[in-house]
Amino acid sequence: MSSSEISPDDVSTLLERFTVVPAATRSGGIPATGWARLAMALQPLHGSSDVLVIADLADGTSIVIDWGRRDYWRYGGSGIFPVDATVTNVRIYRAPGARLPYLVEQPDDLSTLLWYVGLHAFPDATAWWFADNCRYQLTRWPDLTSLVHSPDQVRMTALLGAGIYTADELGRAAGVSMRDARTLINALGLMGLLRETPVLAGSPVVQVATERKLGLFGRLRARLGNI
Amino acid sequence: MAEHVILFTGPMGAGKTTAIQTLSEIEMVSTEASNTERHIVDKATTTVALDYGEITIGTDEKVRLYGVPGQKRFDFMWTILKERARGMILLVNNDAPDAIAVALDYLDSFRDLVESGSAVVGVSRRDVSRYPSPDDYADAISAAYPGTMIPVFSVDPRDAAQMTTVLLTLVATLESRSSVEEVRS
Repeated sequence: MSSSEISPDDVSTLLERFTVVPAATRSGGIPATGWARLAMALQPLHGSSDVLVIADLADGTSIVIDWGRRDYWRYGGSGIFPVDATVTNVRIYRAPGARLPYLVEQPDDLSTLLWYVGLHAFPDATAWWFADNCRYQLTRWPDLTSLVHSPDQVRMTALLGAGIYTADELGRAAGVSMRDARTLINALGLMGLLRETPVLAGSPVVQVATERKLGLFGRLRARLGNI
Repeated sequence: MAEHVILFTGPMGAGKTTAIQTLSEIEMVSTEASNTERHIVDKATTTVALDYGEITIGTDEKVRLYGVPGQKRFDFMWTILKERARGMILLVNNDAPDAIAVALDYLDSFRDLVESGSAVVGVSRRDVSRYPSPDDYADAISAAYPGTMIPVFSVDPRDAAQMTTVLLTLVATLESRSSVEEVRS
C-alpha cells in the first residue's frame, strides 16, 4: 500500500476510541498554535507505545505519527514543512495492547520530525515543559547523521554528554549564542534525550570557558568545512 | 608535528576502507589480499594489514586514519595500534547476522577506548536492513558499559558529510570530556 492511498481518515477508522488534545498551553495559560502546540502534545508521550497522533496544519498538511514504531508520514500540503507552521488540530489515538499495521512502505523516522519541531517550536524561549532555571545533561546521542545539523550542534551535544549546563553556560562553553544553545536543548528535550536538574539556590556556578577555544575540533572544522 | 591517530575498525564489509577513502586527502594506502572468508562476506579482497589515510591541518598537524583488518586473525595489529590511538570509529554493517553482538565483540577488543568514551559507532547498510536501530545499539552498549555514552550514528561510508560528522563527533567528545575534567581539577 503506498502513502498516497492512505488518509488520516483511513487511519482513524482503525482505532475505536480517541482523545482530542486541547490546545497546548504553558503554565500561564497562553495557547499555542504553532509548532509549540504539536511539541506540547508529543513531549508527554515519551514512554508510551501503541499511540497514533494526527496533526493538521493550516496549509492542508496532515502529519500521521506512529509513536510506538517511531515513524511518521505526511499527507497533503506542499510537502515541505514551514518554519512557522499553524497547527490547527492535534488528535491522539490510543489503542492499548494493539500495534498499528504498517501503513506505508517507507515512513520517515520520527526523530527527524521531533528534531525539526523541537528546533522551531520555541524560537525565543525554553520549551514549556522544562522547569525554570535548570541544567541539562544528555542521556543518549541523537542519530545526528540522519538529521540536518551544524558543527556547533555537534559540539554542544558533546558538551552536554560530558557535563551539565544551563542554556547560558552551554552557549558560553560552545562559543554560540544562548538562543542557539536553547534551541538545541529544546530539540533534544522533545526527543527525550535530556535529563534536567534544578539549579538550587546557592549551588556553585559551572565554570566554563568564556572564549571559544579553537582546539582540534575547531581546526578540523575549518579544514573540512561545514557539514 | 602533532599527530592524532584515529582507528577504524569493524567486521569485513562494514565500509572501513571506503570511509577512510572518503575522509583522506591523500590517495589511500591500502594492503588488500584475497578474501579467505568469502563464505562470510562475498567480496574478492579484504584488508590484511592496514588502510591508511590522512588529513593535514596547517603546517604541523596531521590526523592519521588507520583502518585495521576486519578479520580477527589479524588482531595482533589491533594491539599495536590501539596504544597510539586517540579514538576509534567502529563501523558495523547492519545486515550482518546478529549485528549488535558483532559490535559488542569489537568494542570489547578496544575496551580501554570504549570505557574512556573515545569511540563512535557507525551503522552502515541501514538502507538494506533498517533494524536494529541506532537506539538498539545504544541500549546494548549502555548495558555492557554502564556509565559510558557512545554516539551511534547511521552512516553511508561514501558520504563525506556523514563521515565528517562522525569524525567531528569523536573529536568533540574527546575535547568536551577533557575540558570538563580540567574544570573539575
